[in-house]
Amino acid sequence: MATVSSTPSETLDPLDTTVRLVTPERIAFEYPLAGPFRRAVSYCVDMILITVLMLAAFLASLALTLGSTSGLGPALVAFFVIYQGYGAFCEGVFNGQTLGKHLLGLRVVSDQGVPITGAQAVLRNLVGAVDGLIPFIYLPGLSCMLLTRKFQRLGDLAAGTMVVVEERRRRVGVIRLREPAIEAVLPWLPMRIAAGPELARALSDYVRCRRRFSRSRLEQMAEPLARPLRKRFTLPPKATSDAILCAVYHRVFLGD
Amino acid sequence: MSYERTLVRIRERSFLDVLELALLVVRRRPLPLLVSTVAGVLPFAALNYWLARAGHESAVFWGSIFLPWLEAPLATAALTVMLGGLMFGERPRTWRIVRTVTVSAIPMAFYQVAVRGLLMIIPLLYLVVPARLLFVNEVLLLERGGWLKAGRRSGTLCSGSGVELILHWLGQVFFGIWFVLAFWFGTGAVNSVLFSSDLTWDRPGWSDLAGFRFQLGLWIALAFFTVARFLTYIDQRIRLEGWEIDLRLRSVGKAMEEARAW
Repeated sequence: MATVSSTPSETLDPLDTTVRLVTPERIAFEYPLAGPFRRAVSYCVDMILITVLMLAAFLASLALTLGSTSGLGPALVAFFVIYQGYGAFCEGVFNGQTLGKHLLGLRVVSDQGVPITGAQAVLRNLVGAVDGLIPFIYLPGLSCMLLTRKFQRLGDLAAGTMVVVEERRRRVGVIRLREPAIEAVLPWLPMRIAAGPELARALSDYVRCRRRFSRSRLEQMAEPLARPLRKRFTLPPKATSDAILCAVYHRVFLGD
Repeated sequence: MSYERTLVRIRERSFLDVLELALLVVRRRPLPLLVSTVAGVLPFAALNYWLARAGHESAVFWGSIFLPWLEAPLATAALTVMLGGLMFGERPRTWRIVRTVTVSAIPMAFYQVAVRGLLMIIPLLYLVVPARLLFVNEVLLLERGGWLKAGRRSGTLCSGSGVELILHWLGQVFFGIWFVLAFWFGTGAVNSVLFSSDLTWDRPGWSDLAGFRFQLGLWIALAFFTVARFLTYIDQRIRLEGWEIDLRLRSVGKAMEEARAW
């Protein structure tokens, strides 16, 4: 069973909207959490869909009873079933997602980080009725989210669930850099450099964003990483820090 | 200023992420934020209450909503100074907050009352505020920019993301209205159920807008969005000055120099 990590130093760590779960094998996962604002937007989308479904149920009910007032009864039953059942059904069947959550990239998972069961989906939506519009106009849900570490409303606490953001990383292609200063550094480097994930990510982020910054700022930013690289590959001292990072990027991602 | 030990993790964020981070900031440092908010807001809330008591019902409506909106940047100036300190690991002393707010009071009044008040009259022109003048308070109070420099610097911070910032501002208005109404009706319902043994409640009238619950909800929302605006300001600086990449390059460079990772 995964546990929420809670070390004494955690209170001093920089704040972030994530939760860290540690498995019994001591493997740590960091989940980006969805708080009330993201969830409010997905709730609005779901409410629009629920309204459309209710309208359709009302029209169908009227059509089946040929427009008589007796159609109101089945329509009210349908309203109740749709309003109470929509969230539980979607989250139970579609692995923790309603349409609104899918559009916002959110997913309900258990607070251990594993997929929710059908019972959890039903429970969080049933208890969730207290968090909603009636009787206290979202105040219990909002207060509860503010007070819990994982932005859980009452329904989440009852069912042992939380809502996380599914990270959709944009795929960025390899950037080809053709600048004389960079090409002058390339012959000093080996044809291929095997970099670890940290170095590869740092180089990739740097090259992707370097057009946004001035030349002097680039030099300032690149210097701390260019310094050890300069030593390791005995690069010429006149090579700029920016050119060194770009050349190493070239060798890491494009090779020769 | 060092961004290696900060209150929030340095990374580029989306608008909704910034709002949720603001909640975490409020939860981590409730007391200093509450004290600086109350100290700034109380004089303005008292003034509004006094004006509302003297006014007609229609004046109560406009005064209860638009006066706090106009006053908010001045009322939350102390909160902004407090946030600026907490962000970089210090807790500003009272005299420093008072001095900073006093020194910046006249340029703040010029931008936030005169310029903003004029722009408010023409709704379309008011969009200039989120598009160009959003961070005037942060620049005046935290960067100690002069009169002209503050406007220019705020414009620079907003440049390239004007439309995005207008949309963020509209989002804040939407969430703000939602929260204030929820707080107003919700606390009314709680009040009726717990203290009046009454399961229904009266339909509110305009005069209730000057009442304690509505005003409290409004000021909570305005203070919260000040925290959110401060974090948006930090986010803009992270993007424009490359703090996140800078930190990553430093961390990898340090690890390489210590020959731990390669």
